[in-house]
Amino acid sequence: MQFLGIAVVMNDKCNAHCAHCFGDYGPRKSRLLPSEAIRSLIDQAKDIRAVGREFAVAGGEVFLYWDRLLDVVGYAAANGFAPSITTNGSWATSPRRTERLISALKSSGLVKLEISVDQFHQAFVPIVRIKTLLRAAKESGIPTIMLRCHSTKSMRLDAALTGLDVTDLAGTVIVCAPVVAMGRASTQLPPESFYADMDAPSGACAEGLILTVNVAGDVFPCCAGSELCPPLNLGNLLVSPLSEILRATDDNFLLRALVNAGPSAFLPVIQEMGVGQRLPGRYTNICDLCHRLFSDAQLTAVVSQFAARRRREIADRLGLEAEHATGV
Amino acid sequence: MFSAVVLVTSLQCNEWCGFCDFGLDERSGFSMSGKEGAEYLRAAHDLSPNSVARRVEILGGEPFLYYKDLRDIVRCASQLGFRTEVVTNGFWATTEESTRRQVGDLLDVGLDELTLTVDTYHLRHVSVANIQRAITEIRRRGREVNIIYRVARADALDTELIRLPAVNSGITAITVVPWVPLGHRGPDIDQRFVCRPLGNSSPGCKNLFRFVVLPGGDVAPCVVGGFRGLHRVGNLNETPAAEILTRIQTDPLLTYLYDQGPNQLTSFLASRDGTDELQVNASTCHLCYKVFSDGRLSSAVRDGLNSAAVGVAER
Repeated sequence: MQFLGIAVVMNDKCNAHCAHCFGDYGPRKSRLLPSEAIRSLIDQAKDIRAVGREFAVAGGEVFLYWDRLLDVVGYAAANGFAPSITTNGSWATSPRRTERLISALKSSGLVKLEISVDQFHQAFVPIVRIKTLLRAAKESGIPTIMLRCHSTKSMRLDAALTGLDVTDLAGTVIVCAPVVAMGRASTQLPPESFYADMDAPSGACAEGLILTVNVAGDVFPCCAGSELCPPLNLGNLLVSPLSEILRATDDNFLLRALVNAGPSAFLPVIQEMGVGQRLPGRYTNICDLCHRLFSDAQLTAVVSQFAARRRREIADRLGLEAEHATGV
Repeated sequence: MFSAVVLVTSLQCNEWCGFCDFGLDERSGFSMSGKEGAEYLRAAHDLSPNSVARRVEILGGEPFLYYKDLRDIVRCASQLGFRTEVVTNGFWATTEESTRRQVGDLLDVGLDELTLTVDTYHLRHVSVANIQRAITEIRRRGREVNIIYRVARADALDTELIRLPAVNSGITAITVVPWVPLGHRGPDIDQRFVCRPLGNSSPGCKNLFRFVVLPGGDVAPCVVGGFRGLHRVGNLNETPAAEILTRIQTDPLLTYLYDQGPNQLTSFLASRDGTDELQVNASTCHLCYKVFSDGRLSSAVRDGLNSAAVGVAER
């Protein structure tokens, strides 16, 4: 299994408390992934070919732990990774302060700055701070500046970008993504507000995987919702070496079927086993469907049984013992 | 070294956008046949994947004007193992049925990504409903859609576009790119275009370098260089791809641009030549164009590189 790189959730504390947050981060959280664990992760990953060079640092709000953030970015860059960070920009209170912090990150090797800009975040962060941050980031020469916008039917991209003009936006990449009904969003937003137009979303994620480490050190195959699905937990970095965690994915037929065939490949068996009514029938995207399959113990059990049966069938055809059929 | 092969399959465009960097319209230039495109792809495929990534970006002009050739080229690219992207203005997505058919055909022969060029100028020629249809169909088939949105100072992001359910309901990357005033000069440029001081810090042109092949087989290391004839390094009908690649890799100017980018040329030329027209630019490509479309400045840079005055010696 190949990963584009690594994403670490450095902290779960955030100075905003957005209704759509799938991680349920907020001001009352206080957990931190130890710096030593992140450094150890970098040390281990730099020599593993299955892990690409992207290194995303996310939270919570990562600027709440400035010294730690600067250290992680610098250490990742020094070890050959391409560091990126995600921030809500709340700390960009003056041009001078913003230029100083951004310049320090650029000097440490930051190659991508992702800024959360949408109506959920702007309930907590004045848009003028985003303008200040964009100006400083462009002047610093950070190669990629990305605005991340989450949308629902009532919280759209056009409203999120009000207050930013083309001078602010030129030279940026705006990534608009629909809010998926998971985490806090599933309890705080009305069901009808989600875009859910696909009956069997096609596509798979084998080429878009990023090894994600949450604030507790648990490792997951992506940062788009797998962290909320215990069956997709690959292991814990504070307990096992990364190489061991990755080696186990080779033998994880269920995971490999999921990422290569896509979650819609499991829909026929869900229907066949008579548990189709546990699914809503309409989905936002493959991440939505994946999350629904693997956050429901009964559906996970059905899918796992199917995967185990398929694996035995393939092993039989190849004349192998199923438990020895690593890589099948 | 190159992040993709770029095939410019047609210099012809069905639109005429006022700020078009390349001045293309329905009368301009000529096109690449499916057979020629396949030959160029095979030539590029012979190069090491460490030199040229297995990715093809198909540009115009408007590639969909010659749909059959486009389909043949996408099929060939896919068979050779390239990840394939087509950049289009979406004029062809006039009905759901035609969109489904044309997108379906391309996906069936191996297309991976579709990029739509959408902005104030293109939307004078193409309905926003076309964009909705194209995005919806691509996404229904589980593939990626990107939007390139070009801006001048008087523009805004088109509200109708960014309200589209298709834009809001899937993962849509809108790359906001300032129009590059190629061929425009004069004191009011920074009033009309989104220009700013670039500063000396630059990541270099690493991310911009492509193996760009134009109709007729000319090769350049970047899109602006290809269209504007600044850095053409050979022709695939006359010279093997490997030799062209070697020319690029050993050219002092191109290796300098690859590593450093053109930003430091501003201060170099100001000190050496006294020129002060280079300070404010829409992008590094704009600066590069200003320097290398001017014989005097271009010679000064080449002389400087030969005498290591712009810092190439220490590399």
